[in-house]
Amino acid sequence: MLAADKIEKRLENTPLKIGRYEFTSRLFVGTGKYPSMEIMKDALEASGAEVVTVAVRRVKINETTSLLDYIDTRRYKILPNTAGCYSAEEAIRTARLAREAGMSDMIKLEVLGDEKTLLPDPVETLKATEVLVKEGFTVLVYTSDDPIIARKLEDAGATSVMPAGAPIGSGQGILNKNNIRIILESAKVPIIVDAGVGTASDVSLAMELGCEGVLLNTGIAHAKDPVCMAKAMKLACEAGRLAFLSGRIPKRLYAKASSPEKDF
Amino acid sequence: MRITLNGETRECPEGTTIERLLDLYKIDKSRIAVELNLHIVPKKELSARMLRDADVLEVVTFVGGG
Repeated sequence: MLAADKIEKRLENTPLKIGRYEFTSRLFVGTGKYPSMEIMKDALEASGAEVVTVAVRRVKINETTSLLDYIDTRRYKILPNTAGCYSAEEAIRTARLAREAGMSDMIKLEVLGDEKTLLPDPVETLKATEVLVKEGFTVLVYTSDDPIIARKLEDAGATSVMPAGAPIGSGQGILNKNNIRIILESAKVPIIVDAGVGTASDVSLAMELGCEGVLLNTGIAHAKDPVCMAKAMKLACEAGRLAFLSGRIPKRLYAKASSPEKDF
Repeated sequence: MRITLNGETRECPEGTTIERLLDLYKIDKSRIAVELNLHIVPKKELSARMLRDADVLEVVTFVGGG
C-alpha cells in the first residue's frame, strides 16, 4: 500500500464515535443561510460532511418544496437543533418534536441567553441536558468555552460537548484556545468546536488542539463562494486532524538549523 | 368549529381528524411532528385523533439551520 493511502486509511480507521454512531468525516455542517438550495446541496457535498444540522420550525401551509428535498437522508445523518430556544422548557419541547419528526434521536441542544449575544445560557442548558439524557436522547450540547460547565454537561450525560469558538455567526475563530485545551484535558466525551468559525485555519486550529470535530454553518454559507469554502473546510479539518495525530514539534524560542553544520 | 393551526385560526368541520386536516392543507406527513394542545401526537394516532373546537395544533418540520 502506498504511504498516501495508508494515511487515508488512518483517517477512515479512526472514526468519530458519537454514542452509537460513527462518522469518518469530522466536519458537521449547517444548512441555514445559503444563497440557494442548489448551492447548499453542492456545498454539503464538497464539505464531505456526514452530519448536517437542521432547525425545527412550523410547516408553512402551501409551501411546496422542503429542505429535505435537497438533502439525501441516506447519505447524511440529520442533526436537529434547538436553535432559537431561550429556556430549558422550550428546548426540551423542540427536541421532543424533532425526535417525533422521525429523523434521529440525536439532538444539538442549544439554549441561548439573549438575542444580542446568542451566547449559551449555562444554567438552562444543564437543566435541559439532564432531562433529555433521561429521555434517551443522544445529546450534543452547545455551550460556552468554560471548562467547568463543560465538565458538568459531561457529568450530566451529554454524549458530546460542543464549546463555542466564538459567538454564533461571528467568524472570529477560536478566541480562547487555552480554555479549549483545558476542556480537552479532562473530557471523556468527544469535544466538537461549534460556532464562530470564519475560515479554514480556524478549523485546522481546533483539530490540531485535539478536538474531535468542528461544526459550522455561516463560515461556509456566507462565503462568497460557499462550495469552494466547503472544500477548504474539509481539507482544513483533515489537515488539522492529521497534524494532531502526527504530534507536532514543541515551540522553541530560538532557532534550530535544519541543515548540518557547514564542514568545509 | 374553530381551531388554531400554527398560530392561525382556521375553520374546520366537526369530526375532522388530524390526518384529514393535514391532507386538506397538503402537508406531507412523512417529515413532520404534530403537537395538539402542547402534547405530541404520535404519527400512528393522527388518523384516529378527532379535533375539537378551540384545539391548538402545531405542525413542525425541518428547515435550514446551524
